[in-house]
Amino acid sequence: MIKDFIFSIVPFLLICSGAIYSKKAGTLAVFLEGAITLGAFSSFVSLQLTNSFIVSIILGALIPAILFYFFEKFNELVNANSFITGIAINMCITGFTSIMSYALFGKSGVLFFSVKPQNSFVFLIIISVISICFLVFTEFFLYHSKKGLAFRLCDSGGDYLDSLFIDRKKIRSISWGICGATGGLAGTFLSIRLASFSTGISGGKGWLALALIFLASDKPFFVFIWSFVLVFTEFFARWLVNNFSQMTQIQTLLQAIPFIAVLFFSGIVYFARIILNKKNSTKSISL
Amino acid sequence: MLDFFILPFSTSFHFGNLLQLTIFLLLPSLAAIFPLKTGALNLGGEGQIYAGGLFSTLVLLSFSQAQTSISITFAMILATLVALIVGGFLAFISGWALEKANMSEVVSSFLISSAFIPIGDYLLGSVFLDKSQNLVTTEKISSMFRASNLISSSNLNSTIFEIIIIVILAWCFFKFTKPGMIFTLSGKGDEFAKAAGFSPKRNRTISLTISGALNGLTGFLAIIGIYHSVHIGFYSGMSWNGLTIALLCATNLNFLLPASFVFSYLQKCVDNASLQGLIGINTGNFFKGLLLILLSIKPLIKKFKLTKSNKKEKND
Repeated sequence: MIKDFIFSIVPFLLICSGAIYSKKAGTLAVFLEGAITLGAFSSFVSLQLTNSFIVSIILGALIPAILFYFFEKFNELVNANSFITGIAINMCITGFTSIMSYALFGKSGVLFFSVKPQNSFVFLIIISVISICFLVFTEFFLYHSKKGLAFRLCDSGGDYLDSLFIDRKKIRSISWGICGATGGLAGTFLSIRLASFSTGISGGKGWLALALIFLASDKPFFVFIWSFVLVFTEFFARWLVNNFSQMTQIQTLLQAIPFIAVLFFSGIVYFARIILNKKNSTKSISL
Repeated sequence: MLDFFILPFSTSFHFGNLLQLTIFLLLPSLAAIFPLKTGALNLGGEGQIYAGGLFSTLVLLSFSQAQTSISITFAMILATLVALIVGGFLAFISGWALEKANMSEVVSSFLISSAFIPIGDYLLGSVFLDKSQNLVTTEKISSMFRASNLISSSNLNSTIFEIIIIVILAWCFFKFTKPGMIFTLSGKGDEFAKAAGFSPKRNRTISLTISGALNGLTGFLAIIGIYHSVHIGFYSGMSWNGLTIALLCATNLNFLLPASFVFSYLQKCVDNASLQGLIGINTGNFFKGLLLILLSIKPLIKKFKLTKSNKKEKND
């Protein structure tokens, strides 16, 4: 159960850590669903062809990273609305993976490995370790380094960056590349864990990750906390269904528990912040 | 290849469906535009459409025995109000959380919608299920509540007139009224709005509430116009399509109808070609995505005109 719990958190850690870069650079990563799907498909195909986990993990991260890096370059070149192009690329990737799976494997829908891959557990552990290390790296890079400061100023302090001749567009492209890489790696993880691929493999995790980074105020530590809360409540709902026969009748209703729990706790956090800020301001007035 | 582009105009059935989708999508687009004008973003449209459609249908089902025109009119008015109130309330919670606790409406609206959808599915699958059917759906609403068909066998129905009136009223609101101008100012910049004496957060709360109400109304009109009963996933994609159209027209109501038409046309090309077996559904989505990317490119003509005027100034 602990293994399942950790493996359920890992995709959120990966996706959120990449999305933080993109949000700091000034664009909301609405293309995450596409990045996850493309990463999962790339890793599935490369694993089928090469039978090597290492190659599949590398390609699963690299292909989306390169695609989204150049895609943001294209957005800048033609002055496109990145929200619309993000949604459009999600559609394109869903269609593309479906076409390619038909071309390569003769069918679309759910694809299974023809030969079950051995030692997948080891590589899932490796990706889990990578996800935690990257989250820690993100905290130090974004909040304790000069280059990270440039990322953080990209949206709000753009004129300052221009005065230092730091190219904001380059930072934005790099952020999309990082987001693509982490999303692709999350897709790789899901594909290896499920030993299959389908166009719906992301299951809405991209949108949920965006909500989590807003809740976490772009701080990697709080991303971990909120991912933990979300997955914990999902497991709690599942535990209720598995252990209490009456709960199977309201199984659909229990799917709302994670969202209600996250809303509830975030409400407490936000209101607590307001109350604390008010107390501090009245203290300073009285002084 | 030519069939792909001509099919939506080929028969009255296809053209009627194209027209219906074009005008129907104006409402969720308007629902997306209101918060965008004030600088907010409503990502909870799916849940709001579902809630509005579900609860208004329940009201109509409870009046299924109505005989007189007064009772029928009363039922329709009540169902409309319920759709507006339920959808508006779900969005109001996000606005209130934004105003009081500075909680991002992007998060709260998305989470509220995601929380409501399983609740709605449970109510639909157990309490309000039509047990005479094999599908997970409510009973069909009485024929006296259904919108009348304008082109037989197509989806084009009389709800398009209500939608057009709402869009015209919204256009007048933003163009000619003081609150409309205040909304637009609030979206331009918080500091400017505050300096002018307006509360940007209060305006965002109001715009989110209106957005939720319009989404609720979308659900209601979808039921009385097209589906006639609530089934799982009937709301799917409506809100996102509306948001895409709102961004395509850059929240400018003058371009809302053309943007909606272009989007609906693409959608119908893909749907019709898939149904006819010309292309797969996902292949169609691929081409739709490509075309959307092209459409999102801000006019290069503007850039060309600017460089031309710069050259003219240099020569002078």
